Amino acid sequence: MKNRLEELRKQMGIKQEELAETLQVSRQTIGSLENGRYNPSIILAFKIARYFKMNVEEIFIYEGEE
Amino acid sequence: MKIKNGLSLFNIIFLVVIVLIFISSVVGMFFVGGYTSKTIPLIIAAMAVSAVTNGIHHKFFIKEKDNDERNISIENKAKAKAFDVMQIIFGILIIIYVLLRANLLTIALAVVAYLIILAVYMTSFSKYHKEM
Repeated sequence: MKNRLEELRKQMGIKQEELAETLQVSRQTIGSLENGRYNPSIILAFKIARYFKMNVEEIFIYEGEE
Repeated sequence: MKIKNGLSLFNIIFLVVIVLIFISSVVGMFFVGGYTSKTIPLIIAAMAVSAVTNGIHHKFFIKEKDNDERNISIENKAKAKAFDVMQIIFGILIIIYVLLRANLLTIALAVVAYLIILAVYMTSFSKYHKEM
């Protein structure tokens, strides 16, 4: 699943570490999410959406089964 | 999995027990027995004790579990893979015991251990099936 996490994070000018601390996950999790290697749980997806004040669909792009 | 900064009473007791087991095994191996035919079984027994105590320590004494969902997911996947492999290995082990004509008690214990693990798997499966 593709996402705009890296783009949005850079727009806000925050580091992976800072985002990880706010979301209570590790920095590696943020890295994996940005690379698209890991799909977050629905709870984490909503936490991320709430952090950026957006909808989940605006951050995570579902393009059907890969 | 993080290890707590402060030592709790249980952790101290646990460490004392480990140190005692270690000292007694060192004394037993080097000062009393020297190298005997019992050395290898003793090493295997020590490994078994460490496996059991390590398992108990992880299950009951480490309270502060990792709360990073990716790490939890990785750990669960690794455990699932290990369980799949363990089923095969246990099966092979029992077959080897049978082919070696090991005594019935040894085979029965291995089978019982295998059945206990399968029973835990089935009860957990049904528990989570009801919960989710």
